[in-house]
Amino acid sequence: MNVRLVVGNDNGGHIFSRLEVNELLPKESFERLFATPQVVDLRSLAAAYGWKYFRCESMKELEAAWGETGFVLIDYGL
Amino acid sequence: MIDATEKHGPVQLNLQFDLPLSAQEPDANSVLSGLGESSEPQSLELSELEVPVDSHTVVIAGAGGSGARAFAEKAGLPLLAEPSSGERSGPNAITDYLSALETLEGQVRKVVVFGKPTLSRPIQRLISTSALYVQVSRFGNFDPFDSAIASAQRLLPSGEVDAAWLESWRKEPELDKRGEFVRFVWENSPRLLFGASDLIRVADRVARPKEIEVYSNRGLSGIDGTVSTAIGIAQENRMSLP
Repeated sequence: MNVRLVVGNDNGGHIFSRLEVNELLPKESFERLFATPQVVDLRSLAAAYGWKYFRCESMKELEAAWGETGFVLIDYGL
Repeated sequence: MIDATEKHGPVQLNLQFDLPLSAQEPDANSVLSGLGESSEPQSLELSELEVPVDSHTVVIAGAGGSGARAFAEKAGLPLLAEPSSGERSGPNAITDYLSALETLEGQVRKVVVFGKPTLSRPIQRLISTSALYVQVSRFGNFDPFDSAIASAQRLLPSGEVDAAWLESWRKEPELDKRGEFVRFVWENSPRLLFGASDLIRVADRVARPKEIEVYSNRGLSGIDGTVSTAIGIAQENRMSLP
């Protein structure tokens, strides 16, 4: 079976930047109260479940990882 | 129970169990074998409705929006289809309709909605301020502002639409890093499940029309269980990568 999880990794919370509050609050408060950036070690998570893991920093690296089969976690840095 | 079996969709039963919490009678296998295969309702009469369309009309497709593409192409109307609608394909689908709306919103007077669009505020606003026709979907009759003029199980367009109206919607998005990433995933996946967050909204701007098998838990307001859903879809298909 082939399952490819593709994470657009911006440390989370980016969706809240679409809200009005992003304009209203100072950047620091917005980060602390809404964006709440997370640092999650996806490599270890993938290893725990026995998935292949690829960290990609560029489209070229993404294209290279795309050919992998099986259970694949792609962690793309945004 | 008989009524319930003739309807589609999830059912919630709140049952209280008695002690002991285990028993051999009744046997679940014999109960289930008596139920037989679920079947499509036999007496399904489709209601049909002719929708008068003009050069101030757009077609909107949300989750469960099947039929939107066919309607838009028959009418010659712009198709504003969310990425998870399954209808974002064909010559009438507009890629960056959200940007196009910034200039064209004021010209829209009528919207024909298929499925349950929930992704963006501009689309909700458009639905709230326009004459609304709804094709009933598996999510029922989508009428969040209680403003629908009419709805039916099948909508058919009637009337003339100026080809320039459709062309005025053509809009190519500018791609930033997110856009480039999301477009790559969209274009290189024959089957795709979106998570319920920011990137499906990026896709709403950058995903070019494409026939694709696409899913999202969003139509069910689900955020949890995305990975489980993905594995379920993969099990169903057991496909090899192209």
